[in-house]
Amino acid sequence: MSEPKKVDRRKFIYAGLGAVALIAIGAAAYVAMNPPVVTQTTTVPTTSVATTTSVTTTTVPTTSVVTTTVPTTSVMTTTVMGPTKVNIVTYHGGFWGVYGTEEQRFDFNAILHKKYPNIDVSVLHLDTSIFTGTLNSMFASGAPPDVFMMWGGKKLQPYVEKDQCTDLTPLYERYGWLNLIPKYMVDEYRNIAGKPGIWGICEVYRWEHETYNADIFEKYNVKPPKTYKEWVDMCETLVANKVSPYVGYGSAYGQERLFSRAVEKCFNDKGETYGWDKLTATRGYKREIPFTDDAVIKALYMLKEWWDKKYIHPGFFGFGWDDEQKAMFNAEAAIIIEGIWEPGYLEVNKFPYKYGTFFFPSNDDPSRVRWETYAEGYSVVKGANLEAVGKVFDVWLSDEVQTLVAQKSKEFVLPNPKALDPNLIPKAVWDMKLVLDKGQPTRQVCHTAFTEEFTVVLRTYVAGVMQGKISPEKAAEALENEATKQMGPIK
Amino acid sequence: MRSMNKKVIVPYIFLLPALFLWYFLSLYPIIISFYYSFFEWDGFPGHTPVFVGLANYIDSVHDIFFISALQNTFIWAFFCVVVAVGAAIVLGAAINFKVVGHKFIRVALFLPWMIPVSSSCFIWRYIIYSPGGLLDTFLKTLGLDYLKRGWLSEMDIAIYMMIVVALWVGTGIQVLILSSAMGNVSPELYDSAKVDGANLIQRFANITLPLISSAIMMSISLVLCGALTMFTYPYLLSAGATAVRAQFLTLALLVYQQSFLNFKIGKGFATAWLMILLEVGLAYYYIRRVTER
Repeated sequence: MSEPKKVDRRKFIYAGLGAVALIAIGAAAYVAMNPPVVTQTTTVPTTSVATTTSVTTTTVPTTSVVTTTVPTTSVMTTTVMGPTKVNIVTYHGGFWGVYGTEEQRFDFNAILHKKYPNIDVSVLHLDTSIFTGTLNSMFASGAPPDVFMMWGGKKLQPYVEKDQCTDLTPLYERYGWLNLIPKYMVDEYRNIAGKPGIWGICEVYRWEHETYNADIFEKYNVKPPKTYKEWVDMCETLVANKVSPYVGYGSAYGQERLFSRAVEKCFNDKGETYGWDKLTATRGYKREIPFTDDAVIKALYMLKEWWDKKYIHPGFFGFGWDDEQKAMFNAEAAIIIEGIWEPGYLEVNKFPYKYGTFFFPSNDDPSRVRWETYAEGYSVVKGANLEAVGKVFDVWLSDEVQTLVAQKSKEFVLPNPKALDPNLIPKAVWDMKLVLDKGQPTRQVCHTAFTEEFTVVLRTYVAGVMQGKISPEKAAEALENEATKQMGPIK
Repeated sequence: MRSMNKKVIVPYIFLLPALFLWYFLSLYPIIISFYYSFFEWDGFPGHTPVFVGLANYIDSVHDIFFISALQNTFIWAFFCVVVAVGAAIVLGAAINFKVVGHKFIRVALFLPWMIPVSSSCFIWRYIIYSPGGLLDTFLKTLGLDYLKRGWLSEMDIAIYMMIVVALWVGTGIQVLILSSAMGNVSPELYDSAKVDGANLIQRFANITLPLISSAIMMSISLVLCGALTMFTYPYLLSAGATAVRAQFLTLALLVYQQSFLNFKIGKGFATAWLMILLEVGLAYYYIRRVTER
């Protein structure tokens, strides 16, 4: 048996010391890049009512729990901060999530530094289709951002339910946002999951409509439809001329939007009175009507018909945001299923055609338009530096910034009413606002009314029906079973 | 005695860093995932997991997407094994027996394997993206417009296109394994067979294949393991698209969906362990069958 090769002890020791030195250098670099924050605290008293629970144990081995409600003073501390970075994660949308041109952006940090020199904002924006999974991974790994963008309603609900968000009432009170931001926008983030408090800052109020290529319409002598029959005729004319009537963001919200339109139409056909709380698609999820209602099944058949008749762009199911916009800019489709932000996006990105907007005619009364609203905004993760976040949003909500946002990105219905200016907003959008001011919106559009878990199921089954993989009846049954599983039986 | 102890202990000291990494990156997650598969847990910090026994396993099997994920996983396994290993045998033979163009074949097969998987998926999305991707443009140029499909968005074909991409990337390593094994077969055996009148196919079937059977076994095991835990390709190629996901959802992707989209990490772990049981069962069956032969 051969002798084992001797290890040179000196070399071994040098190698070990080298490894230790590398680790020490790495640790030093880490500390240099993340200096400790020196804080002094002063208290700014605000008052709120809190429930305190005290647990008393006695010599008898039982535990009694006493709950008392006492007024307490909750404090928002102000701190003198060293350099502080506020990390924001967004999906595609909104001020920090826009994928648009450089013209849409402006140096927010420069404006922020004028008032708060020590604070910076760092943004990570993700495509909407991977946003939720990535955000949840960040939470699970113990490294969430400070602020995350989220729709109101059921999309934000799990995070509030699971105690991951901070009540922002102290910020609203401190900075006077209750007097600045319109009540309907504040209410979008109020009392989420039944928990009192304000759980987000509404960035923008949205509604759904269709945006169309007016040049294509002109070329084929088509007008924005006011009745469903006109809508069908419009689609048939465009298809005959080899233009896809509709394009949408099929890899994410396209399904819900189409579903919502079809369901609304089919319930209107049944004679359902159109009104404030009558958004029928979400009534299914609220367990007021079953998904197996014949109007829902009829809507699923309608969707299949739209797909078979090529009313929807063939790339729909694989399209992301960029793809649908590209199809629109290349005039492959005449109408895009997006919402109130779309005209602004077209303007800023220099859409090469004329455009217009109309509401999907789910009923044949032109005076009764169908539109759905929802909010997008920002929520603060529990444990984040509330002081720094407050300062960031203090600047973000300022007249200067909000006017710039309206001017550059053409965003509409921003939280600072000074930005609601016809001189800043595209005319087509302002005209819609005037129409809507006369009517009543339905609340809670599909994709913010459902949890992510149900949304995936809904999308899958709607896509399955449209592609002929599953019958509408089976799909409706599956949706009803899933809604029952998640939300309980019909009330 | 001291020298004996040193000989025994020193190798383990050198192994410590690797063992340390293996424990924290592999063994510990396996143990902890099994433990938490019996708990309802949303994964958020500060939330205490609640013991629910086998509820997660039952819930997982009743998940609306479980059956389609299982079906898709088997589709991956079947096609990857049959096509990858089958192609590897043929191409390995072509390289080993130095057919015309064998050098080109070798480069063409190994090059994709050297590109990171995420980059490959990114490139392929541009090729098979529809409408308007490179493949569609190519078909249009050839006047074959009627062949254009929604390669990643049509439910019938999305999974098969993803398998094509995975095979493009992964076949190279199988060819490497099998062509190396073929290279170890003694040439005298072929000479003797030639003398006995065996043709090329007979020599291949009766000499080459039996002698490389252990390499084929290893290749099948590797491919099967990869296919049964398939996540990367469906996730990257679909770019997170949820609408048609059920058509190419695999068990591994379902684990991700349950854990990170549905806030049910315990259920995700349960699905992962069901996946492991499936793999262990298949592997045991396979090894038993092969060993018996």
